Amino acid sequence: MNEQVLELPVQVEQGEKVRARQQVTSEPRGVQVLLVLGALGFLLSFLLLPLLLVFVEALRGGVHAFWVAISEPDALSAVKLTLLVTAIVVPLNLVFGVAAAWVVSKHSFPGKRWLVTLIDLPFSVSPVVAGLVFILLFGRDGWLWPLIEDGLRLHLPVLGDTLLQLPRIVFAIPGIVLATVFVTFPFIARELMPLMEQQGSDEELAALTLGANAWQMFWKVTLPNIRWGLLYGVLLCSARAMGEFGAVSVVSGHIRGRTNTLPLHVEILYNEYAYSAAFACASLLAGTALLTLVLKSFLEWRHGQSLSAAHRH
Amino acid sequence: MNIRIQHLGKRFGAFPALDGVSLDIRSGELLALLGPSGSGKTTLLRAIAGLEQPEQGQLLFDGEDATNLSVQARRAGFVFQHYALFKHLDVRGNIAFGLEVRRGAERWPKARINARVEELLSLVQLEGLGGRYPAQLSGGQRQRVALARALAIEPRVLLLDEPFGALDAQVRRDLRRWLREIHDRTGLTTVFVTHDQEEALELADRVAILNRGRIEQVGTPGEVYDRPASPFVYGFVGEANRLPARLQGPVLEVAGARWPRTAALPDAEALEVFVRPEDLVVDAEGDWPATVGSVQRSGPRQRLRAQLQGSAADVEVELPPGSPAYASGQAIRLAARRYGVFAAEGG
Amino acid sequence: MGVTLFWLGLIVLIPLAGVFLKASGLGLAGIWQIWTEPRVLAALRLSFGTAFAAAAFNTVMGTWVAWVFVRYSFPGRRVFDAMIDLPFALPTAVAGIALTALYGGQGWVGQWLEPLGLKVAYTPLGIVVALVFVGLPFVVRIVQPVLAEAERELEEASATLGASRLQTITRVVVPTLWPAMLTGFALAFARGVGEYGSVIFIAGNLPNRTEIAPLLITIRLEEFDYAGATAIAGAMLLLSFAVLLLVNSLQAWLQRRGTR
Repeated sequence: MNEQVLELPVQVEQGEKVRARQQVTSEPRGVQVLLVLGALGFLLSFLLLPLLLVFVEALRGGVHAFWVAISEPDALSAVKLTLLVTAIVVPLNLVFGVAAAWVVSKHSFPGKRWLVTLIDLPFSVSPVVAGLVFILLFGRDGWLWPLIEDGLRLHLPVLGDTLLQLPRIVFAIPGIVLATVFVTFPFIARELMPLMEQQGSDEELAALTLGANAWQMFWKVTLPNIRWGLLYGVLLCSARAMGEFGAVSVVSGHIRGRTNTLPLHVEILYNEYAYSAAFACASLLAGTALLTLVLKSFLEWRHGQSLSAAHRH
Repeated sequence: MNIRIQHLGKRFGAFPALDGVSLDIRSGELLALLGPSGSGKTTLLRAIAGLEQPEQGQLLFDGEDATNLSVQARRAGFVFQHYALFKHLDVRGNIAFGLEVRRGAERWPKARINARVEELLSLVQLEGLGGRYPAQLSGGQRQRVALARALAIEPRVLLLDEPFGALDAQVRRDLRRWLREIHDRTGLTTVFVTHDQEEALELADRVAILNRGRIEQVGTPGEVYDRPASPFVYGFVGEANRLPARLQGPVLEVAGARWPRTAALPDAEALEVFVRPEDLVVDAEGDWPATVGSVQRSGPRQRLRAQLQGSAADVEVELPPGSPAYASGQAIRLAARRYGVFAAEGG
Repeated sequence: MGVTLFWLGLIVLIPLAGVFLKASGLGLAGIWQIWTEPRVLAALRLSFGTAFAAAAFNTVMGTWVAWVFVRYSFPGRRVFDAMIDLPFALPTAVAGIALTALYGGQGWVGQWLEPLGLKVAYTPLGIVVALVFVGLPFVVRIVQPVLAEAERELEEASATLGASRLQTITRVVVPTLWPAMLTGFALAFARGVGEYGSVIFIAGNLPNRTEIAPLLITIRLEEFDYAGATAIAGAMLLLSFAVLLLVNSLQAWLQRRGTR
């Protein structure tokens, strides 16, 4: 080790400030600004513009024309149908989504990964294909058509001679409900699965050791823990249920006033060149979409800890 | 390469991480930066590497101002506490990384890069593991890859940030010995950060002790242990009993004993005398009568906890092997073989 | 458990089994004939081609957007961040008519592009634009958390070894993002292939030119050609399955090399 005597080239004044430089692990300021502007420009033009356009076009004819468009009988029945379908679909998917998530996250069994993949399936299948499948099942010449047309005579032990007959499904409301259930099924399940897995079974087991039965355990332990995730899933499920187009379009038959949901009604108006009216109805849907986004952000912001990790910001 | 650090200052918000630090690092030495967490040792190391930008002060590499030099240009090999290995590259890819990113005239031909990688693999004793991925290695192996990677670029200085902190005790000891060997072989100026004083004293040529952003002392392990320059060093490196003392005219009164006042003593009302446990001896003519409190035996060592008569203070005494056994309640007299006197802090 | 299986069976499995059983009623030769009809081939090519292009574009732009939102802070970041989910929340039909109005000849954007010779509405380009809209959140939301967890120490290490900022990004950061980017691509692609509502308005729907496969299925259904519709649906499912399998294998390969 050599001792070296250093000659200082310059006397440094104590406290002399050095020129501030950027952090090592970030880009030059100019590049940062460009990247941010580029990203925001992209978002504004691709995402925001269409949304803006919906509202502008909806009010193009004036507020009165807007009101007429959305209170016209066919539009009203479309709204009613959309709400009805959503009101049926969401609770159904809620119950079975919770059950599915519960099964997957608190147990292990052979074929579990297949179950998970199956739950994801409606996401990767085109909505049109989903609708097609229901037509194949319940449409004329479909698999289950005989059950609909003629019904099935059964001899049941207690009830005696009964007729099991399904209502018309395709080109009728039950079809719309079924198709929407299929398409929106994963939302709640996928939201709850990682959440319940994260939470583990410790609390439930503790409840059981304290004497709770399975039902009490579920109500008092499991549900409260997942309530924000549940709400989140319900929110997404409802939004999708109201807006579903492809599957419903195939299955509904587009019978005006009877089997038209609001999205289908929008399509009809647009194809008839009634642009203003189409956008007026579309703006109702866009409004609920915005509401969904706001509620979603609120849930993530306020209760982010209680949601699955993917939604914490 | 030698490094001269002058009056380096750095704040994180209101917190002064470095507060006027000056240090000369000699070419080829193995220097330890020792201190508790928050003392600024890691900040100092990172400032040398260029990963932190000091707000004040200057950094000189071989006499040239390196304060504004980019990280890339400094050629300071850095080994992180948690290795920071590139998981998507195998061991070879990691080690060769610094050589592969060179462009233009600086760039080595492939054959030369490969030869260097092989050379380093055998230096860190990981021959044959070149094709493995970090996920397939143990902690000790990963750290050796990190070291090889830093050495590959033929750095001017090697910087290690608590390099063995994430490993278990046995691996840590082995790697310590091995780091010293590597240093002796390469002759590279090496600076490492640690909060473990045993590690610093065992490994380094010199130790720089930091506390609250300032350097308290720089010296060889012997100097730092035997002649601590401040109360902090006394207490941090090894253990110390602290006895309150007062200057009273021509006399220094220490826990009941009266010593002659000398010119070397600090000029302050309230003082403290620091004595290491092993520097307290049981002496029939000692200054301090005391009563033995508790006795601890571990192997050949014996430790006493004794209450001094002349003060409320309890002291720890480390007895050399072969001392007679003492019992609780026994009356003894203690003398200080070696001690330091400093002005009392806080008053 | 039993409840879940029952539900799943009813809702998912039986319908899907139906697809293939129906198609098999045609016999393999019959299926092949339908698959090789020019119109069907054109529709499949269009659907998969545009979905691929849109997903690729989204992978790049989505990563760009994710980077900006994770690494930088700027006024309004939270609001913009929430906006990214808009395509998830907006009904496809609404998106469809809005995009058509936007890029059509008289549209806010279309009126500037068409004089330049860039016709978007009623061309495959329009379909790509619609699919970009629909698929963007998939990529961003998958890449964002991975990027947020990326260790800055790796970038510091890279810099100390002499790599420039650009080299660090391309050699260290992007490789850690590959799996997430691939997943995002796969999801956006799968979604794009089957997309219906956002596309049929802007596409123009000219057979052999701007007719997507899902639309062709609905046309066949309206003609009561169930077998034909099913055959096309089967082709879509098989091809999507093949692509997803490919992506999955790519990811497994990356996984084996130790990248998380």
